[in-house]
Amino acid sequence: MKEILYDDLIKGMQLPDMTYALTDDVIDKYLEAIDDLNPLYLDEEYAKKTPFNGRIVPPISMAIYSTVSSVIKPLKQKTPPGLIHASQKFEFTGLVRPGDELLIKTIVEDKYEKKGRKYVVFKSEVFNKDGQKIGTSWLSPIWPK
Amino acid sequence: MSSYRTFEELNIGEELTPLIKKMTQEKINRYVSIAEDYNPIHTDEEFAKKTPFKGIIAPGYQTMAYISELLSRDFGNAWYVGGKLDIRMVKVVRPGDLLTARAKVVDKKEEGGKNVAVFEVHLINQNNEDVIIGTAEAAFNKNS
Repeated sequence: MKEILYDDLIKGMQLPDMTYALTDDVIDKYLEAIDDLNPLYLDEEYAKKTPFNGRIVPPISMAIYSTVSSVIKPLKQKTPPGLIHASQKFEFTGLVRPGDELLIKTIVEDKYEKKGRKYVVFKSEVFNKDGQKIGTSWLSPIWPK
Repeated sequence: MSSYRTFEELNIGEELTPLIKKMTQEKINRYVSIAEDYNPIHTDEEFAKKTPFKGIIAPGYQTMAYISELLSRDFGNAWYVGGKLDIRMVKVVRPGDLLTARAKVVDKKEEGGKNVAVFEVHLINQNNEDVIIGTAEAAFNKNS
């Protein structure tokens, strides 16, 4: 795959829509990796007795499918090595449930140079299958070249 | 759930109970195997040594989850639906680092029909250095 360079990214550029399935396998591995064993995410019996009425997925899990590698994958291109995550914003707007099939819409919201470094801002909006927006991510990496 | 804290009981200036986590190479490997994040700086020591970071660093996305866990623990739905996080990664996290997530109440306000608590958030390493800094908001329904 060809590397996508800073100059290839254009402000306002819309990336192809993506889908992502939050399977139990993905959720279990993610929770292990972030070391968060909250029974609200893992134990259906427990979660049913809470006001959430069943298991949910922590919304910060948007992090696993709104990465730069992930959002540029439909372009069949890859990031240059050495890309660094500089800043991040999230807004969580709806509960995420195990098994949700998510739709992710991403644009290049901004790109700029500061102190000799190249920054890009990707805005990803995430929707569940009912069309409800469950959250928005603004991911800002430093682009290596 | 009764263990969640309410908007009313929060005081400006108050520190939430910190959350402590140890970062390991094993956790980083697990994280990159599940996340769509193929950057050799997280897993390849030879590659990482040649970068300005001079060694392996943990993904920012993995470490910021600790701040989210702290706010989930204390606020539940007010974080899951209505939470906002705005952070900067200011220092690298290495395998072996002991990290503490902290949040301090800095404002309480009304916005969009909800009660909103604003926090200054930090992730701090074992040398008491900030690795992540920023702000967060939790939005509480008025009838809860």
